[in-house]
Amino acid sequence: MRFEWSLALGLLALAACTGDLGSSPPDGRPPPGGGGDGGDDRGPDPDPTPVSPKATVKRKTGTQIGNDLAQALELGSDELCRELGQEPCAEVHAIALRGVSAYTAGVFEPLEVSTATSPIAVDRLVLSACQTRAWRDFESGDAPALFGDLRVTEGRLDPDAPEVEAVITELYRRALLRDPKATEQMHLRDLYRHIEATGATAPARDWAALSCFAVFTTLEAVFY
Amino acid sequence: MRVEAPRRGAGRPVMTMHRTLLACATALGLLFSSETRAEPSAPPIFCERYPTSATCLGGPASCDTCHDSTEPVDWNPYGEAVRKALGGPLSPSEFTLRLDLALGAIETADADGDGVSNRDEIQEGSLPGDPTSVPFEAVCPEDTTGMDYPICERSPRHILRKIHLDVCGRSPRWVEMEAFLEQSPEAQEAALHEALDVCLDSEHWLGKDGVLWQLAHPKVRPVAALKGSAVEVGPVPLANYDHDYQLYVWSQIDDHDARSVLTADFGVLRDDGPTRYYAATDTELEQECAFCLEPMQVERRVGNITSRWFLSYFVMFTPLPRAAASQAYRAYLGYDIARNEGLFPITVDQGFPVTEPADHDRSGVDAPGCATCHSTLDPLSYAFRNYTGLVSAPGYGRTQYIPDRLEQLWPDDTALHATPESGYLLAESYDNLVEWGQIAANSDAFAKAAVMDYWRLLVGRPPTADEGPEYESIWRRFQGEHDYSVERMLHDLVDTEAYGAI
Repeated sequence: MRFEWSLALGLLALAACTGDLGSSPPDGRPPPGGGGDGGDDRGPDPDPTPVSPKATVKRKTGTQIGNDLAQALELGSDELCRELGQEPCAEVHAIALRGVSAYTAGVFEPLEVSTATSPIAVDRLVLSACQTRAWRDFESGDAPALFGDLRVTEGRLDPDAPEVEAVITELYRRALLRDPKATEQMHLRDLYRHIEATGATAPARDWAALSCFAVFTTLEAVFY
Repeated sequence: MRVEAPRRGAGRPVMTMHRTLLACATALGLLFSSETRAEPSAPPIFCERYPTSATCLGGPASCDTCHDSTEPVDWNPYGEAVRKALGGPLSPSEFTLRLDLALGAIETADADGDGVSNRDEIQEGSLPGDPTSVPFEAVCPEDTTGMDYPICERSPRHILRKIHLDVCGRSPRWVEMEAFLEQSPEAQEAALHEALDVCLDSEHWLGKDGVLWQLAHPKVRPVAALKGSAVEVGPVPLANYDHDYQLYVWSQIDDHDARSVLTADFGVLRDDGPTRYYAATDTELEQECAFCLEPMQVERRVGNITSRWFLSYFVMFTPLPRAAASQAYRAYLGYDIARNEGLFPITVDQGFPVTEPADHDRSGVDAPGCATCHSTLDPLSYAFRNYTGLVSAPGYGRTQYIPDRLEQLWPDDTALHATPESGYLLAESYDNLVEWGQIAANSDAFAKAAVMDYWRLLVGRPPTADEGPEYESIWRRFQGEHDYSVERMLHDLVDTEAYGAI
């Protein structure tokens, strides 16, 4: 538990310093597609991450993650991830997601540490919700909730267009309750370029789902 | 369904617990004595010496303060240092007299050689006998400008998000956060408490399987296979434990007295959509059971520890329901006897008129290794003497009070009949379970345990040594100014630095 807190605190504190959560490769290289600071000149190493001795960071439960996704992406709770299309993922993976299984398994309190499958379960919940939102905004014909202002031509968009900046801002406000920093804007635009470079047939739609996934799986979104 | 009284000793759960207690007690005794003898006064003496230490905030010190292992018994360097300082072999009274001095004699030393003195480790909550365990030391940055978050400071923005997530189960919306941030600092503080009030009425907080319901899981310990509600019937339906959850949740909301969970003589029902809890009659309660056992006589009711589920599951067929007593002690007073917590030995040595355990049921609990914990547990359990679980007697139902239960159900066991109904709880004498409930509900232990439940829930961990005064202030106000209202107490808790600092 202490390790989990320390890790999360450290990373959150790092985010506080740089505003740079989850969108750069962990080895410090610039993201593919021409972004970042370029070349091998990464500049001086950052100062050691300050760790707050006072804060205690908690991991959201599956219920909290689901509620936040439903609220931010304007989805009904019955539209969130279901395993085999049947059982809600947050219930199937309850113990991995800081839940309990009191009545049948005798697990009366949440585990003090995360399990090996906790990150996968979080990814599963978030990716499902983000894909649903993106697919619906792009293809259903219903009134779009989040990505409707993007100008898409033959499945592509211009990552430098002002409406992309507005969508990224809206995404950050909904997910993290703040505006994105310039570096965060840049990383998500770079993400689009990377997706398009892979030859995807609908890169704009894929970017919508994956940018949503990237932001909702940051430590800042998963911990509080 | 009528069940025959089984032969004594047939209760496997009790025997299992005896083995656990024996192991802990033996280990504790061996810690400070060259003989295999239990010394139950060690944890209280330790925490009397270090009352504000993080080690003692959540209850008596744990086994690993001195032990590497309790079975087989092995000591860590700090335990060895204490043994050496004590000398020995010692009688129990000699041990009691010398332990405080022995602890004091080694507290400036560093038993595990990790560079931190024993006293500092105990105070900060790390283990003085484990070199890999040292106090957590983090220093706030001198300059926090340029950071998105004011590290080391109380952050209203952070608290609003936490209140929403913890109590409402969701983050604030952007428009809510934006409106909040536009307010003055004073208005923000008021808005935080308004948000808390709104969230305290949310389904996430008080609904079935909500936060409060889940807080009751370890207290109720449900088993789906034994559930007997009108709509959910397990293969062996015993009782509808939803009633236990409902009384618990009712006691935690709307400024109700939290002590009701140990004092109520009524049941609570629930309407869904939106959730509403209300006191109910026995007839109304029985409509929600598939196989309702008989209701407890009103004058013998002690909240959730005389519920049909509690007595069915924790007393079952047992003459002396130690499992029921230890569960009540753990669930509502925060003391787990199996971990050597909450030991108040009732012995002549400690100034009481009797020495426990008297071993009325001849379970062997007066053996030296067992007596450590049973000198507390048995006098705690006597109150349940006449509360039956799944066995009935002529004129009485199951889960009822039978004035001469032991005599009726085990007529040939005359030694067992000597089991009194009076005993001791927290070193205070009681005459029956109703008094037991009153003593428990009015104790500091109850208030501490209730507040600790919410501290752990909201802060995410027990209080640190630095937070000890804040924690104590809250549980004392819970007893006084808050009049045992959990909701009032929570308004204090979200104002603490422990909750609000990032």
